[in-house]
Amino acid sequence: MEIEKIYGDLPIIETERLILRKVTIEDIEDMHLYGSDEEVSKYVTWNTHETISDTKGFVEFVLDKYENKQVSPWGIEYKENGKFIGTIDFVWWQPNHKTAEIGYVISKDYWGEGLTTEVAKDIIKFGFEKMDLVRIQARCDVENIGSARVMEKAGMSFEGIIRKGIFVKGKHRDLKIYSILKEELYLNNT
Amino acid sequence: MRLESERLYLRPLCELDAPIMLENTIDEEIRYMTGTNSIFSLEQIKSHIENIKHDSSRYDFAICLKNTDEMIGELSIFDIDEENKKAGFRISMASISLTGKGYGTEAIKIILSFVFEQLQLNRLQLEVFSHNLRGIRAYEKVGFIKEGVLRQSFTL
Repeated sequence: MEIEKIYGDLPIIETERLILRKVTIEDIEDMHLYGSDEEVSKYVTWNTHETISDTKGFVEFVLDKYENKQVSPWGIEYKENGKFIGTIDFVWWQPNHKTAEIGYVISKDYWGEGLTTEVAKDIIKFGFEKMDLVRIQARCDVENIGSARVMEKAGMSFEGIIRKGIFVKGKHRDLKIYSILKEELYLNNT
Repeated sequence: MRLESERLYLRPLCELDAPIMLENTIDEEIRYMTGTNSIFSLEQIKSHIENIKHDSSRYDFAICLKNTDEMIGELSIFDIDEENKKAGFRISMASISLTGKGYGTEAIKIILSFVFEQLQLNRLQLEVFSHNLRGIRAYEKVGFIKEGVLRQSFTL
């Protein structure tokens, strides 16, 4: 099975300023800093972490995915200070169609420095080269301008708006959908 | 359950519909329009019908002519998502010769009132191949709005 081959042992990926590696129990505290931040979780599907045990619950969910060799998230570590500042992952993967979707979250303290774009670009490259994808998509709330900017800067093209595609935090929300195709990868990175 | 319109009625799909559905999976044009890659046996289709009967996340209906009781197509509401109040939709006519008579449009209209009034959903979505112009025309006619193009999202 292709998924097990790659996710049986999540590979470490290093970018200029960041290291992508497995999430561990030791990351709970750092993760809670942004998981409990209402501004960070404003546009995402999960609820703001109320207590440290909410964060622990998510980390256990991730560890379980590693254990079962499922498609699972990378933790994002900031090289300069060794802090755990976010996660990025393929939220689903359909090997038969060679398509997948990415999702990410990053601590507010690290917004505006192009860090998410830096990891998104490398994850996209990983998807095309190691997972043999032809299409990678991403979605975000139409009001989440920062996330849409990451998608654009990572070379993705806007495809449309999924109107009232999701009901989160008391509201039917519109989602923007972006994608990048394998044939576009090198056009955008040069 | 039976849902009706002027010329048509919808009833739950049953095992007796399997031979007609098998024919659809063999017809080259229908295969191309519906994105059918696999070859199915009659037994597989029968067990598929049996399985979806017990699946609470979907409704599968046969589209029948009131006059003759002939089954002329089938449709599904699937991935019913109570949390987000939405569902997916697909429809397939039993042969190309049955298209162009407004039957598909009539069946979809029945479904729209079922989905929004009875199921109380907020959004019904569908994906159609860009090469299925007849389908796209029918969907737009009944009020579906094109939201975008999912480029290279399907291997066919």
